[in-house]
Amino acid sequence: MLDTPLQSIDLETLRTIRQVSEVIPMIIGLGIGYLAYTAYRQNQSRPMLYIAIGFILVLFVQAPLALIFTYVLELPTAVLNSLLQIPEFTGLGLILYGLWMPRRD
Amino acid sequence: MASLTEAGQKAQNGTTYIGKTRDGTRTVSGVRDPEALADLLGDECTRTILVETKKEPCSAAELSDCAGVSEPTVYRRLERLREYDLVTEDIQPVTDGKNYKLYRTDLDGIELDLSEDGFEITISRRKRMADRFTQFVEGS
Repeated sequence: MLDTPLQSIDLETLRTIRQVSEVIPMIIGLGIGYLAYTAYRQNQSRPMLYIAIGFILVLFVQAPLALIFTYVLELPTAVLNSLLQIPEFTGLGLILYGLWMPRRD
Repeated sequence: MASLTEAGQKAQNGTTYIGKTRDGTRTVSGVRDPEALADLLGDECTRTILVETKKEPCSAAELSDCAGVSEPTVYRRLERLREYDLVTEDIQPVTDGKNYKLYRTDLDGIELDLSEDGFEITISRRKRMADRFTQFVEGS
């Protein structure tokens, strides 16, 4: 009998890998946010500040917030998920606002 | 560098083919005479300026030190490089009211391709990511 690769990985390992992989979008999000912030500083472009904060809110702050809500405040999952949507919506709104706002020369 | 100058001379004799715009690159359409560009790059001082301004934005005085030539020579080379849009200048405000300029290049490569129609010069540039992001958002 040959073992398929799936059988050799148990669900617990898979879950851990998936949780750790949450770090990847966080790092990329931080990179994009930092780039937008640099652009704001160097080009004195206000829209870039909103884009920077937006990216950080959407991609970076959610995982640390989730950890705090789960382990420090011990909130139930339903409340946790609702609260985590706030930075997501705010961030997306800020990106949209940054793209919409007029440019000042 | 000898090969570039030689290529320029060949281009002078043959047909100078102006390339089409490709994605991410800007072709030579702005370059009036490719021979002069090849000539310009044949100069060691010009190449030093490009190398130094690629590392970080430099003032004319710094460039003069690096290349070991006088400042007027540096300014002449910079002027010619600016004609081809190979260097840009940033004005740095100083507190005493006298501004000075920092020169920078976003040149990524100059490609010389030989086809049956002649030589084609392709200039590719890579702007700083922060500037590209700003342009993407502001659409300027």
